[in-house]
Amino acid sequence: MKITGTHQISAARDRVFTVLTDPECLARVMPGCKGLESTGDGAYSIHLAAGVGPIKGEYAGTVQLTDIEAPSSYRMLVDAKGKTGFVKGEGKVELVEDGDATTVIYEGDVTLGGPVAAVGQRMHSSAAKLMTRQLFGAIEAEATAEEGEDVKHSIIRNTLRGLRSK
Amino acid sequence: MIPGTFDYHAPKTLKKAVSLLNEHEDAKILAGGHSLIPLMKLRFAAPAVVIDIGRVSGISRIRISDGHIQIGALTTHHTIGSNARLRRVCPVLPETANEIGDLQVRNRGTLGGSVVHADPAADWPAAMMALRASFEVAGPSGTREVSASDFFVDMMTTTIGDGEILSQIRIPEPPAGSGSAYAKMHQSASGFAITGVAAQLTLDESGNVSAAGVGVTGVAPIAYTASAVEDALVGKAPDEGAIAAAAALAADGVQDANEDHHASGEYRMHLATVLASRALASAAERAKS
Ligand SMILES: Cc1cc2nc3c(=O)[nH]c(=O)nc-3n(C[C@H](O)[C@H](O)[C@H](O)COP(=O)(O)OP(=O)(O)OC[C@H]3O[C@@H](n4cnc5c(N)ncnc54)[C@H](O)[C@@H]3O)c2cc1C
Repeated sequence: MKITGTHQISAARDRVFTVLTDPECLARVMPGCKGLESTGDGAYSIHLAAGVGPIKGEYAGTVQLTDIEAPSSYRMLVDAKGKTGFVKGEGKVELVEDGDATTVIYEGDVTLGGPVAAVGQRMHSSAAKLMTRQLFGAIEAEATAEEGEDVKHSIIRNTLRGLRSK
Repeated sequence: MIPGTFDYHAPKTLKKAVSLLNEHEDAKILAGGHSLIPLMKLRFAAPAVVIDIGRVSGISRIRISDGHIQIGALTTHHTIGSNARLRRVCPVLPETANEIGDLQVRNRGTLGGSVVHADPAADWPAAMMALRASFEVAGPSGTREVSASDFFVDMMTTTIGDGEILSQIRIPEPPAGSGSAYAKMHQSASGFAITGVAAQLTLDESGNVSAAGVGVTGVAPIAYTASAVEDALVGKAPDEGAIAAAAALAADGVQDANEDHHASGEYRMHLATVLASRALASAAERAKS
């Protein structure tokens, strides 16, 4: 399944790049992230409960960032599995300055296997789009949060706003 | 295909069901079970507690009074599909019900379960948008009423909180001179809508459209009101030309349409226009007779 798109975030490129590549920030912005640890060299071990509405699956695996050209691009490899199947993905993320804002351009290919692939095929692409919207809502909140602001709150607020302004 | 272990409760009142739901962590409501049970069998959902509302009284009736059609959340698709009075008063309701899945699904599946599950390909949401339905939701601190346009938030996501139960669906009784219909292209294996359009038209004495409601499912992550279609029809005679011109706007403003191996987004948007014109033509026909 191809996942491509662009998303504008109203924050400077350096800031957005940090949010996208810093394990602590990433752990906060990934929907359903239960754990994310750097294992060195751009590799992370990850544990997340991913899903949509009542459909949830827990996945554990690795995320590897390569070809890092801070603050403008990197490639990402994801490999995770759980009881409900596995997810493998590869993609490229580019950050382009756009005045005071940053445009994130992403392009990737995701393969699902096991039960999650066999069932609900008709919903894979809509589900991926929903999770992407949630992710960018949270990135926006994290990247634009004032120092000391309670980010958790603005994540929820921005995610909801993102969902409703479709 | 065997669910995890869970505790089971079958309360007899709505109040008890709400309090059980709020007493337990990770509890889930079970209605017809035609969406929840398959998820549990595949372990996509593994609630610790299942609260079966199948025995709750007062939430599986259809009542038409005081200018409203009120349908209990637990009413099955079959009950709605075979209701003779609804067929006269608001034909799009039984028509939608009878388009769902197969007889077994219609015998067990409920209106409430379908709208709370909010599958992007579910049939009911189209009619709920077209008919300007509202939803009565019972929670620990009383009930609240939500309009259909606020109820659906995103695919498989509604405003219903973890501790809340949908109790009633209310639809304004269509005034004299109204007609409604549902047109659908179904996916042949499950019956789910690839695209479905529900429409209701009300005509004034001179035969012009005084009110229009059009809801579209299957195209976007949630069903939407095709307001461009509605606006284009109000004040006009619903003849072939006016319907065709209005129906052409049925996917206006849709970005990122749903796509899967059954149908591309573009095809779904095209279907919306074709099905809108069919639904509007039958609605107009019924409004005149
Ligand atoms: C083979 C098959 C074919 C189908 N074809 C179609 C089709 O063509 N068109 C279509 O629209 N649907 C179709 N369905 C889905 C069917 O209509 C489901 O029954 C319906 O979506 C869910 O209703 P339910 O009563 O079975 O809900 P359940 O499965 O019991 O519950 C669904 C979800 O809603 C929650 N819930 C249920 N009731 C309430 C309530 N009152 N308050 C709060 N939460 C509640 C549950 O916790 C659960 O998360 C099909 C299903 C199957 C198995």
